[in-house]
Amino acid sequence: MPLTFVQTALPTRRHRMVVLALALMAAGTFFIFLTRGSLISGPLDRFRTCSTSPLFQDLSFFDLKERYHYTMEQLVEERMRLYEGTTLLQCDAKTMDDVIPQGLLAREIARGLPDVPDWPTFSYRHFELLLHEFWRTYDCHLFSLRQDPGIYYKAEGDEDEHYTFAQDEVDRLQRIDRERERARIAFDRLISTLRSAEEHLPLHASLRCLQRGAADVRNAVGLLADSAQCVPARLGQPETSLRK
Amino acid sequence: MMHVTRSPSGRYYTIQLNSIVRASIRAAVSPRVAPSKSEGRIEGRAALLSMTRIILTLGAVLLFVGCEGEAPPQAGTPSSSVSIAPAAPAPIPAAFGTVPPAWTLTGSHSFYMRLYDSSLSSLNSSQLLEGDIPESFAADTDGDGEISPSEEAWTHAIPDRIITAVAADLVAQYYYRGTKPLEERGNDLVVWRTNDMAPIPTEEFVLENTAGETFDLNEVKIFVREALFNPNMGQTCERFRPWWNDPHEPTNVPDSDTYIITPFQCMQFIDEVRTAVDRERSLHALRQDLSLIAYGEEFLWDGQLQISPTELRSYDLLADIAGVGNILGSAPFAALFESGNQGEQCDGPTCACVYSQTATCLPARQVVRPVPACIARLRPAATA
Repeated sequence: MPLTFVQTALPTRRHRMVVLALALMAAGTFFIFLTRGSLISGPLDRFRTCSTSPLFQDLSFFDLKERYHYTMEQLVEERMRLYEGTTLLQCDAKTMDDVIPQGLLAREIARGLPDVPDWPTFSYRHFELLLHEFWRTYDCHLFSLRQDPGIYYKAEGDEDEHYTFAQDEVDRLQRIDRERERARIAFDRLISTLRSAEEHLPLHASLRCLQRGAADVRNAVGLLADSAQCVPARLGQPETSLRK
Repeated sequence: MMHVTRSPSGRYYTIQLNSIVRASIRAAVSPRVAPSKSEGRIEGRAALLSMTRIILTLGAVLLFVGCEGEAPPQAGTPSSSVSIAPAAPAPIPAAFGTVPPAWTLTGSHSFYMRLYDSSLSSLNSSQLLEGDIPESFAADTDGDGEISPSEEAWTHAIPDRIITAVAADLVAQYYYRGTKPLEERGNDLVVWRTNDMAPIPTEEFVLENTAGETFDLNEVKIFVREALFNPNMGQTCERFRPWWNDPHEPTNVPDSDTYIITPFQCMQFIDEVRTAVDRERSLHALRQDLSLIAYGEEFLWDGQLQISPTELRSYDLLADIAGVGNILGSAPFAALFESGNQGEQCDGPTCACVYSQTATCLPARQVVRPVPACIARLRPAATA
């Protein structure tokens, strides 16, 4: 008797359920795969590539250094005017973001940095982010100059970079490395010094607004007292009627 | 089987399927009339196969869509035509970054620029350039009685206090006068520098051996500088005999020809000196960092406790700037630092208003907080 195998390839309900379950599992796995960036640790574009920045385009090394440090200096000075209280607060605003001004220069530079939120999202809270991004942009620009001698020598106005001596190349690398290191140290120290002031800035603003509010109340009461002096004496008596 | 194209805007994909796939989909989704039992089994199997094929196809499409754009960018390769270019940043206004002609990197004494100046002290010594840190004097390193340009540059490269500290460490075991080198008290080891804990002035720092022969600390300092900046190490040991290198006591050898040191010993010794300088510089940088953090807190509370807007940048800020100047030991405050006033505010003989550019030093905006002793010191500087 020949052996025959019973072919039961026709799909049963069980087959359909198994296929459906497998399909759902595959879809679920793939959904997790697609959204893993958000599920695990934020967007995947947190690793960014370094490149030259339009903020420092075509500047020679010396001018580049001057522009960066001068801008940092002015940013810090603008912020210190806020700490010291000479910058006017918008105490009647509803949120602290509106009470504390962002700073004109800070807002202007934030517009040139893609990773810093632009107005109207940009607020006083983004100052440290702004400093960080500005430093990072500078560091990336320097790194690009280090990696590509062509950009460096072009910015210096020396188009014949092919004929540079080895010692010039060593000097170039040393200058850039040194400046990167110094800018990093200055930035770290700046942040460690400003951290406390930044953290307590809302409290500082609240106190100043409270003080101004107290002065307003005092002035209002003073005006009330002055006007009360001018009112006829009888007007203050309960039996006095305006009809009399 | 199929062809995937992306729309010009990049927002959606168009999938073109061939006739086989279209038929499969049609078979899977089209309503069926009641088939016979055998027909139903065959159609059911075909539909199941079609569904499986569709699922696999869609899975492949999704995989393609999901993975597209996640490959790491390769350097020097232009982006593909389907990738979405990031939004270009807004154009920078022409006024941004205009540096005033009078402003220079070394001429500004703002808070930030002081931090930048101080970064030199944290640099590795191999990254230092000649003439980095200005000093008040230059050392005659070769002892010919004249200050050559190279000697001037070497003197300026590293602060004198670092050199002095390293030199003092090298000869500390020979300094007996007024010093108890080490004393064990309970579980503590106490190092006494002098009986009254006062700093020892360099000019009174007399070194002598048991035979009464005296030695000059400046020779040790010169050696330390030379070891750092002279690329010819052998020459350093020939010209400056490390007489302090004796384990027992300094040996006074009048004639340099009779002094014997092998090149290996010399290189080893110079390496030790360089390591010591780097250690001293690291310690100094750490001290600066800690002081700056403390300064940040103090600056904050100076501002918080006195809410009046005019106060923070008047006397308080002036004193704070003097404090930072002392901490960083830079520019006009080097003198204060040398006097040992670092960390103190306005209780030394030469306090405040060294920072002459500050508008607070002008009579019209003078001291707000009443600190009589300081006011007296501020006024002469302001009028000057």
